[in-house]
Amino acid sequence: MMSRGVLDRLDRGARNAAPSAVTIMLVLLAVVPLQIPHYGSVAPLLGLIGIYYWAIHRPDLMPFSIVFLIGLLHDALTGGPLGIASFVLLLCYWMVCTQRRLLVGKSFLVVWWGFMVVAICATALEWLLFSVLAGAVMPIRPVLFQSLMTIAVFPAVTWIFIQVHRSLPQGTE
Amino acid sequence: MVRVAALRALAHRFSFAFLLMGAFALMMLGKVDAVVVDSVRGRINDAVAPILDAFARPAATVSETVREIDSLARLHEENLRLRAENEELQRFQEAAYRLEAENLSLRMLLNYRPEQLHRFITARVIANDNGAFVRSLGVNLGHDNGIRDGQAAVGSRGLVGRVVQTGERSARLLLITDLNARIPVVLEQSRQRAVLGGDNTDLPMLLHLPPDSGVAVGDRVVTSGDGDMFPPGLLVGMVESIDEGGTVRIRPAENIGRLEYVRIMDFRPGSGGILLDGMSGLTR
Repeated sequence: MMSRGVLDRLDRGARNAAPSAVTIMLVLLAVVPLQIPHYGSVAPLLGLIGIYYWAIHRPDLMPFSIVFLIGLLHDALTGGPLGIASFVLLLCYWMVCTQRRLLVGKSFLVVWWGFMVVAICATALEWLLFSVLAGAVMPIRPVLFQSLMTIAVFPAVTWIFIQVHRSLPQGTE
Repeated sequence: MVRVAALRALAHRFSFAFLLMGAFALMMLGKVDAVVVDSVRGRINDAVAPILDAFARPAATVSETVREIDSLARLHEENLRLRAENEELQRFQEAAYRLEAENLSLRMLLNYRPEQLHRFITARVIANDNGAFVRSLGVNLGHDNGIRDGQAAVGSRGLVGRVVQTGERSARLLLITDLNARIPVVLEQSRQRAVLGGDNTDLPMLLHLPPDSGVAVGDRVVTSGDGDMFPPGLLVGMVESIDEGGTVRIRPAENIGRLEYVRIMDFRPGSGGILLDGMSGLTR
């Protein structure tokens, strides 16, 4: 009986850690060299999709500290100034958390539409911070591409999160 | 019970504000003291390098297979093209032998001492930067392997970039296409000097080129060795286009989007970096 209880708790713990773990995995996967020409210039912000999904469905499993770490990892891997992605992701996460009642349980198209707004805000903020830190106006085209690309891959990535979500034990919401 | 919940909510909100300020402070710190932030970045990259390395291998295999299948379909055309190319190259080879002999005899006449041979080490590309504003690559070797900031990175055909940050087991290369890349170059034919400046597109520009430089599409651009940043004579790319405004764009010789391995070159005499004795660089 005892070992059963420990195993159960381990299993529960692992499942509860899955949202953060899968999001971190996606951030890592996003920088793996896929040898596709021009891929680099339009790579999507996979971390943002993870943050958005879990902010709506299970904010209890995605603490602010993990959001901060995901941002830090993203900046370290992509060579941008440290802190920018953390800042942007934290703000987005907080924004979605406060509005999640509007999005939870809604049709996929509504959720996608909401993500569009978030993605555009996030990349705009990223562009702004980058420009201020660099002391120069950054080209706007890559940012546009990046937000479009992120919005385009949203359904596919969300599908992965839905699979993870189904395997989660019921939470307190 | 209500009290505990309220406290928890307060802590939650406080952690948000705290982390947001932390992120902001990190940005400022990066502006003020880049060394500290770089070492943090190096640590993080070191920690995830083995994972990225593990991911990069199957990704490379898959893309290899796709390319293989792709080439099978065009085997016949490819064969014809290669045969033509081979004929042309054989002519070049003869010219090269002749020039080499001539070069050697002239060097002997002038008692010219060639520069030190470059030493290099080959690293695997494990991360392709996907940020919207930076063009860089992560590789799986670092300070422990003799890699130092400032060393040049070349692919099989030409210059790729420069090491800008080294961790213990990983390093980051700033590509020649990056917005911040500035490389002293020279046009091989006319010996006109210029600076290659990236702008985050695939085709970097030639800066500080006088209007009457006589540059033409197809001219080869090589490093000039000015400022001791790169060894002289490394192929960078070919002139791709010249528009009416006088903007000259270069197509890098190396297909940067498809790199799997890079050679990190230690060209500065006595800088104490890469240890591979007996390995020669591009000069041989």
